[in-house]
Amino acid sequence: MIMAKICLCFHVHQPVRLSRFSYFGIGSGDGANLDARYFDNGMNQHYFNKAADQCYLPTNKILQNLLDENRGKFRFSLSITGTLLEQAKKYRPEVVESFRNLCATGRVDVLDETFYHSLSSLYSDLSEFEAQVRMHNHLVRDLLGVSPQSFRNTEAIYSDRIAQAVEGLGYKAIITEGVDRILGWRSPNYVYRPQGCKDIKLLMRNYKLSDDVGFRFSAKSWKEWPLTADKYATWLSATPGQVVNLFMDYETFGEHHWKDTGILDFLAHLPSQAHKHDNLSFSTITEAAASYEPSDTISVPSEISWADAERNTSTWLGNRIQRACFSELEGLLPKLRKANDAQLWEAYRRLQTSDHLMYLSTKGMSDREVHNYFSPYKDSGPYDNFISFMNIISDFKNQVDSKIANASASQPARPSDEPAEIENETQKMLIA
Amino acid sequence: MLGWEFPPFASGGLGTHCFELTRALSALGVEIDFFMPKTSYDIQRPWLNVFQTDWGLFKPGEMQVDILPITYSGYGGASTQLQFNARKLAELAKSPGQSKSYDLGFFEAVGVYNHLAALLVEKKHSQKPYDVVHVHDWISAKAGIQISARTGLPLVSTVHSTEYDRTADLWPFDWILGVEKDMVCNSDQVITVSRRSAQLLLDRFGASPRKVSVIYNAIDSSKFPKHKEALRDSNGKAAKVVLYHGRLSVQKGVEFFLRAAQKVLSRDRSVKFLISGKGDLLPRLVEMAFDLGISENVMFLGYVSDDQLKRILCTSDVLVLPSVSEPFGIVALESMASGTPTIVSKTSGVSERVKNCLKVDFWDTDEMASKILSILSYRSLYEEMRENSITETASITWDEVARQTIDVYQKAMRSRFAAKAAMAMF
Repeated sequence: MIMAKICLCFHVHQPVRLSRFSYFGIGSGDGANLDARYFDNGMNQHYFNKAADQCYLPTNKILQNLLDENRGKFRFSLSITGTLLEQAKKYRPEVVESFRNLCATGRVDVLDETFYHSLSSLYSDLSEFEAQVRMHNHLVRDLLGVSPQSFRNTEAIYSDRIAQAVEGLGYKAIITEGVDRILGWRSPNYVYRPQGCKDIKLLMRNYKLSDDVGFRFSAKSWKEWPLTADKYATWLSATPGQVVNLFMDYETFGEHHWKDTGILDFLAHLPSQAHKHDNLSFSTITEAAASYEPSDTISVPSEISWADAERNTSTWLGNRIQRACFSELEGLLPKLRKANDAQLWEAYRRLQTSDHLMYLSTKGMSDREVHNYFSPYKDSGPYDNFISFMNIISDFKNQVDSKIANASASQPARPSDEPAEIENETQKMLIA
Repeated sequence: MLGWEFPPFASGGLGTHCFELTRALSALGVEIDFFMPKTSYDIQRPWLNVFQTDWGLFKPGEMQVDILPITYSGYGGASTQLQFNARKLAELAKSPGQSKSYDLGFFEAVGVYNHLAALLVEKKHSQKPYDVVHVHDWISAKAGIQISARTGLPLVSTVHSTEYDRTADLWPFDWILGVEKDMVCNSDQVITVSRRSAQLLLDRFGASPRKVSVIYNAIDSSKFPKHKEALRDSNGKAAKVVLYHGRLSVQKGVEFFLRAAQKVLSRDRSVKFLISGKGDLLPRLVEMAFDLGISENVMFLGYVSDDQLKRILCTSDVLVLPSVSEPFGIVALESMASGTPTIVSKTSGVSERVKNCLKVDFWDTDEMASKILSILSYRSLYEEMRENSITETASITWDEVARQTIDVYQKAMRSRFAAKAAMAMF
């Protein structure tokens, strides 16, 4: 029997949540502090503290113990967004410290992505996407002390075009959802090559085994409940293939499933139970990708993701109000370059976080429940969220316009639209 | 079933409700005799027997003078004008067999109707037994209570609104409250049109939660045209239109609508506000529009028929239901069925039922104005709400209401049966 590698990958993310913004707020005040104007930092701090106490700190502690006890035999990958790290630094520096300690073992692989968990990979001009990826790379090296070699895009959004762009940035592996309609008869448990790429390898999420933990772990109506580490390891051992990619929300541990469901104990016992099976070992994404040659080429002409039943981008761009916000934001890019102001850039990029669009979803009941679960605006629906978001975008446009007007009034126009900031970043953040 | 009105004789939502409910019940195999006061309209429909209750339906000697509703005046605190003229009624009762005018004053007419209806139902019940008596609101409650007491038939009542709602709890009429409380206490099952209305019965009338069921109103979406046409001013320029439709009373929160209108106009002077409906608040609202400096942009349409409303909805971009206290608010369903983006107050029953509308606190006129402006400014929002409103209301059917109502009938029958069985043990 071939040795199957278990690739655990945890997605760690918090958006910078928006304030409620009235139509009458558009164009009011002087807009000196855009952070306070658009973002509800009280709410952000509240959610961050909750997640830190219920999930990040206790789960990091368990993982640290597992790394220490298992002496190189336990390894995993993390994909942490820039918006999360930024908030951790601001609200709970000990969270950054504990992630840094995990990375210091040398057995944790951190994946790159867009700093802002944005949909910039879907813009027709990919330079904003590339800028956000470089920013993320820079932040991870700076805060966590490791240099990412593999990539996962926002919500595992993926297409041939995105894979090619990511290969162009020098990454060795990219991960996405093992979508049935793409795989066909093929198994997600092998290493693949994206269509049109030469070097980068593609790993696909085993959604069945991932969701057994992520979604179903605490469902008492599930026939496999209660799921023990022992039973789960047996399933992993019986899974044919080279790699079993288990990608899940980090908040699975302690937030989506509370501590009293036994989820943390499950995690704490998983390595020792897995090691009882001779054919199982743990591996990071980058190591697994390096271990195998691609079994086949996978072609994904239009975007897939790991979200909802459709596994496409309809979670964020499924209706008119979502697409309206998305195209407003994309359309602002040339103006941002022209205004070239650090505060405007930062607000602009935070507005691109995909969560803001997810809160505008009007999909049918089952998905709606999932979206409501994640929405911080409990008392309001997608239309309210749209109004507030679009009011912010409208106000932001005014801010950008007045910046441009002021700049051109005080100094002659620069000959080029290309912003100095991006050029510097590009030079600074080239991947090793 | 006992009601007060039935189309084409209808002044409010109660008539439409009875029309749609009986039709849907009949389609599910329920046979219905419907009792209402005598009118000059021909109301007979193929799915039910309508009895326009009248002295003329009785033969001489059938009417007992001693059970005339003299006790109706027995509620403490009721003003003397409510005291029924017992002698006058007794006089009328001596000569049945011929139609007589109900021209007795509103409360006396209600008393006479209830009394006659109760007698008529008892008479029919003795010929061919009924299974359930169903009454709507206080206006037919007394008859239901009497029939149930004298025949042992289970009583189901639907509370469309209470006196607390109709007066925004400012000056409720004790006498009517008394009838409503009587109705709730004496019913085997009570139907309310929203959770908030059910809660009110529990809190204010001491109703037992076990006998209260919530059945939301529905809509026949096919009756509402979905197209839009622009309302043009004298220069042919299309105007954006925000509509209020309903009674002009304190309960309906029309004043908040006007305050929001002023705020909308501070941003966009071209918006027109239509106020359709009549009511005792009209003079105050006209004055208020003038004082707010917006009378040029506010049009009072007066009474508007059902057909006219459908046409007005076609020209409207937003409908607002700003009610302070609203057991349901069926106009929101009508608006959504016509594809008009709709804003409802959180204190309306309909806000519990529908998803594809915007919800505001009636007093938060800043928020109300912000939402109106957003719908008018953001085309994507307008289109998305329009499409989803039409889809959602298409699935809110009277058939579903009828099914739930039959469940309540069965509950009422079972509770009577169980009570009888318990009595038999002693």
